[in-house]
Formats: sequence, structure tokens, C-alpha cells
Amino acid sequence: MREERPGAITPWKAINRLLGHEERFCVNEKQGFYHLLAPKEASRLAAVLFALQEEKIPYAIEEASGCPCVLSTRSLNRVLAIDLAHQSVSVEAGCFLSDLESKLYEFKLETGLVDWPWKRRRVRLADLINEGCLSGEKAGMIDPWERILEVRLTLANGGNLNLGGKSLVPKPGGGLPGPFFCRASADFEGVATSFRLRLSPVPEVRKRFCWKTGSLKEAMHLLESLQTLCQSWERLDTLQSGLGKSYVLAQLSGTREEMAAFDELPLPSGSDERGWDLLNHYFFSKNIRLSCIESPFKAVKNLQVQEYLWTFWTTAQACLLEEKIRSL
Amino acid sequence: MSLSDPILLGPPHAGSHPLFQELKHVVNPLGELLGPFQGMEFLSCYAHDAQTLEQKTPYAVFRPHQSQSIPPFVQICRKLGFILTSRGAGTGLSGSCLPGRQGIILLTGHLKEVLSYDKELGYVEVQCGMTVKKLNLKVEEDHWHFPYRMLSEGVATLAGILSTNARPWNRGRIPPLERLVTGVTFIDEEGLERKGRAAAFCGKEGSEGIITSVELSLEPLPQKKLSMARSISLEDLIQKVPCLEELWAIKSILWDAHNEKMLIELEGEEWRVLAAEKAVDRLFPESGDPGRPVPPLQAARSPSLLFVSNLPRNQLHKAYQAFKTLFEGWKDAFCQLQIQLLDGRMIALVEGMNPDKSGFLKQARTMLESWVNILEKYEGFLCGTHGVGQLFKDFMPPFFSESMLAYLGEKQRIFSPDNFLPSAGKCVERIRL
Repeated sequence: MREERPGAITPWKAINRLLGHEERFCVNEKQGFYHLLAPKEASRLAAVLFALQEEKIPYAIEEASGCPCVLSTRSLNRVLAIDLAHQSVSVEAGCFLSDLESKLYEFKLETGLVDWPWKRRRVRLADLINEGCLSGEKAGMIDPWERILEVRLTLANGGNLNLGGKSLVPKPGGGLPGPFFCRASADFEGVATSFRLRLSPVPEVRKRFCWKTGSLKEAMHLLESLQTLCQSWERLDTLQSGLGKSYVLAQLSGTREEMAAFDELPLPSGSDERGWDLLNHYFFSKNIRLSCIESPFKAVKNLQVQEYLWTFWTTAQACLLEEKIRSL
Repeated sequence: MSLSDPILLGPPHAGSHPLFQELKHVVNPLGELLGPFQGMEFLSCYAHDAQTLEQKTPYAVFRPHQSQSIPPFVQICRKLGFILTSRGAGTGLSGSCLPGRQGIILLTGHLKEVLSYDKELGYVEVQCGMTVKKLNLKVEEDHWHFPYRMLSEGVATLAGILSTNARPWNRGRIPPLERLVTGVTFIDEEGLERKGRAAAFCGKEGSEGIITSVELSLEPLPQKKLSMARSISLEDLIQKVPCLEELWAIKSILWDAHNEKMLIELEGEEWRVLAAEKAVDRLFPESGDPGRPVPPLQAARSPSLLFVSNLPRNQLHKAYQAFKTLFEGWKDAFCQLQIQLLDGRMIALVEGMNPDKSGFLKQARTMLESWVNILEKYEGFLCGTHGVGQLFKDFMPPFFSESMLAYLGEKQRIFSPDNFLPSAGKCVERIRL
């Protein structure tokens, strides 16, 4: 059970002065009680960080982890600017990806990042990027990491820092270079308050396929044949359940001409496009715990009945999903 | 006695310095130490990379017998106070592998072994000196390849490519190095072997450690490759790029200013390449003989300078006009320009008509200063083809905010407080140190 109440008076006067009643919450969870601070402006977040440092108040960012005070970017949820000329968007870190995508779709543009089905379309950009863009699809063949052109960090001392070039184009070689932004920067040195992301036009045609197989061996065989048939899959995933069932999910996009040529290929039979939606619906209805894993091969051997292994072959990443009984 | 001792005045005297004698004695079993005692001609070979404008003679050059010799060598150098710079093949064009002050060059280009190879999944771990060509020769029979096709692919080392974030001139659409290089083994400044993420080393020009091996995730070998050349003006081409961009098989749209010609490179699955070819033919109907194909930019004269500017597509034409006007003023130089339309890269090669290097460098710096102002106006970005290096470091600050430079400087200070591994002032991160 989680209970959240706005307008909380925190034990720290400086924080009460800085934040309005809609920005202070007290949260009661199974794990304990804590104060949640969710400033609506990046400047206020900087001031809060400075105050927390000055007052030596122990705090955590986004997740409680036993701290009496948790700082969140969830109220920083605005789309700041869509730059059509340079195909980029500036957006605050707490914005839901689904909200951003809806707005971008009006301009026939997309970020290329994908929501997790078990997050019920309520994944925030900060979480997605901090989690490593695992679910990003290669829209326009651009790697998810290359999509981050700029990150605005609020440092622990209250200062602001723009990671990324001042110019509107990325450095040659892609987006924000890896060394300039890594998870450590966000976790230990400050809080990411906004991002500038590179956009891609929504492709003319996007196709999805889903095959259900009886065993892992069959799924791997199918996967190999799909990899031989086509090299430019946007996504090529396998989903294995501990019960032995396996799914192969594939996604591809291109122009009408390209897709007409693709239709001529001898694709394995038995695919059902609705499979994606059915799986999404299934995960939507479950209470899922997720852990990212490094080696999917080890996990396959030890897969438990209540577990699923989702492997993203285009980005060589995988995660283990554990079904939990929904708490009422 | 230390290296700051006044006895040590410069490389010619270094051979007799007791510290060098000690170094030579200690490192003998680890590899070959070549220094002033062998003759300055040898050292001068390592005073520059493929770009000869910036030169700095090292005090000594060390070639380890094997990669295991590197950690003890690093520890000895640190103890004796020598600054270390690793050098692959020295094919860079911005002076990234030039030695630091009182520096020793560590050669790694000969370490080319394949340490492990999973031909099913396309993962390979190779030593730092492996070249793209040699690697591809090995893996292509299993239908894999490392897609960084470069002019120097037979010589340039993978560690060097990663350290300088080098990019092939004829590829606009290519996976980033951070994704292709999945892991790095490096020797830190304490001489300890560590594993790290490629992102921490990409473009860092060796300042984070000495790379000894890299783990790569290979790409499937494309089924079909095709090149298409057409004569077209830049303005017309820019208008049609959004249509071309939708075709995934297109990996490069290169426009050559000298011939007013574009070269489109297509690769991928056969069905995609053929569909894209039809689309290109429809957009650009062939008008007779396309003539000579677009040649790669390669310096034929010395001195020369190659630099890259990135620009938003809608500013490319204006910036190109400004570039032409600016470089017309440089009388005794010949300039060639190519533009990669997919990522907005403007690659310029300036060759001097007379061999006076110092005069050329002076003129080049004046021109670059003006060009930086133009780039700022058109929201662009300047860098070397292979990293920032000694050559471009002074031109970087306008493209980074004050706070960012201070932050990067602080990070570097924490990582290497006594400036042992990096040569000061090479990469962007070192500007303010």
C-alpha cells in the first residue's frame, strides 16, 4: 500500500520556504515513511539541492532507498520546444514518453525511444534514459544513445550545467558523446532536469511480426532465419517464459517502395501482428519486477516458472521480468 | 634527482641523464627502449603523426615485447616521473599522439592478436593494435565486419580510432563507436589493469588510460553495395536530402565541391538496395556520363591541413558560400571541400603551394579563427577529423560553455591529478588545465 499526501510540512524550514504545498508530499509505503520533494521549476530544484547540501539533509533522487527525503523530477514535465528545422525537441526530465510522443506525432516525428509495456505507458524520460534506453528502437537507424544531444544537469551545489555542445548540431560521430554523459553523472553529481533529443520522421510504413513457438530451440532457430533474411530490423526480440513458451518479436520500417520489396521475401509463416498488443496487454495487467541482466545466456538456463526473459538482439541487451502477485 | 632538474635541458642531453640510464636498465627485459642514445633521427619519426604541422620530439620511445609488459612499464615511468603517451599507428591528423612535456611514447601498434572470437554472435576481443582491415579479413568469411571503412584502415589501430573518435569520410550513417566497442581493457595511471566502458574512452585521446584490448560487437556483412554518382549543385541536393534520408540503404551522400558532383553509397540487404536505387534514379535521372567518381580527400602536397565542421543542414549552403569567400583570400594554398549531407559534415583539405610550414601554420590559424566565427554564426561546430589534438585545441572553447569546460577540467583533475597519462591540452577536457 502506498499513500501519498500533498502539502506536507517537512521538518526542514528551508525546504518548506522554498517549495509550495503542491511540491511537498509525505509518502507512506510498506518500506517506510519519507518526504517527497517535486519542484515544478528547474531553478527551484537547484535551490532545493543547495539547501539540502547546506543543511546536510540526507536525500535520495527518485527512489526512496531508506532516505527520509526524496527529490523527484516528476513535476518537471513540460515539452519546452520542438525545433522542426533541426529536428530536435527540448523536454523536461519528468515528462512521460507517451505524452511527448503524442505531441511529436502531430508533426510526424518520433524520438525512437519505446515505452515498456509493463510501465503502463507511464515511463518518464529521466527513468528511461537513466535505465540505459534499453527499449529504444533504431528508428531511422539512429542508436538510442545518439538521440541525446544535450542534458541539462543541476549539480549538487545548486549550479547548472549543460552537457553537450552550445551549437545546435551534435559533435561529429553522433549525439552527446558518451564520456560527457553517463549514468554516474546523473546519479552522483547532480540531477538531469531536461534533455534535448534528436528526432526522426515517422517512417511511411512500419511492420510488426510476432511468432509463438513451443520451445526456446524453435525460437532461436526462427531468430537465426530472420537475421539471415533481413539485417535492418528495428527490433528483433525474443521473449521466453519459464513455462517453456517463447515468442519472437520483429519490427521493421521503411518507405513504401522498400516495404513492397520486403513483402516479396519468403518470411516464416504463422506470424500474428496482434501478438505485440496481446503481450503488451498481458504485461499491463501484471505486477512486474524488472532487473537488467548482462548475460541472457546464463539466465535462460535458470529461468523460473514465474519469470520471463526479454532479449533485445538489436541492442544486445536483456532483462529479466518477474511476475508478482498484484497487491490489492 | 627529478626530471625538472636543470641538468636535463632537452632531448639531446636526455640520454646521459641518470634517470634515463636507470629507466633503460629497469625496462630492458620488458621491451625495447629507444632514446637519444640511439640517435635523434629515430626519435624524430615519433615527433608527429600523419599531420606534420605540430611537432614535438619525445625523450624516448618504448616498444613492449607483449601487452603484459605495459603495466610494469607504467609503474616504472610513474615512479621516475616520465609522462606517458600511447601511440598506435600515428595516422591521426590533429596531433593527438604527440608526446607530453618530458614525455615518453609507448608504442602499441604491433599488438595485433585476436584474443577471443565468437563467430556465432559476432563478438571479438582484439589487442589494441589491431587494424580494421586485418580484423575484417579475419571475420568476413563468417559474414561479419567492422563497418569503419577508412582510408587508413590498413594501418590505423582500433585503440587509436576509439581514442580519437575517428569517423570514416564516406559514411554519414554508421553505428557509433560506443555501441560497436562493447568493452575496453586498459592500464590506469597506477599501472593496474582494469575493464571499462567504451564510452569513457571514446574521443579521450588516451587521457583515461592506456588501452590494451578492445571488445567489439561486429555488424553483419551487407549483402549488396552500390555507388551512384550524379552531377548536381549543392542547393538542389540539399532540397532533396529529406527524401533520400528515408531510404535506409543509403549510407552516404557526399557532395564534392570541385566537381559539383554527389556520390551516394548504398549498402544493406539486396531488396533494400535495389528499392533505394530505383528511388534515387527517380529523384535524380541520370544525365549521360557521370564522369570521374568522387575521389577521397587525400593530401598530395605538404604542408596540408584537414579539418571538419559540422553544420545544420539548413545552414550548409550559406556556410559553404562563406567558406569559399574566406579561403579565396588564401593565395598560396589549394583548397578542396566535400560535404557529407547525411550528418552535415563539411570536410576541408587545404594544401600549401610552397613548403614553408611555419608560414602555412600561421596563415591556417588566422583562417581558422575567422572560420570559427562563421561557424558560430551558422550554429556549427569545428573539430579535427581524428579528434581535437594539439592542432585544434585552441579553437574549441567557443563551442563549449564556460561551465562545461570547468566541469570537464574538474573531472580530469580528479582522474589524473598529477597529469601523468594525458599530455596537457590535447583533448577538449584538458583545455583549462
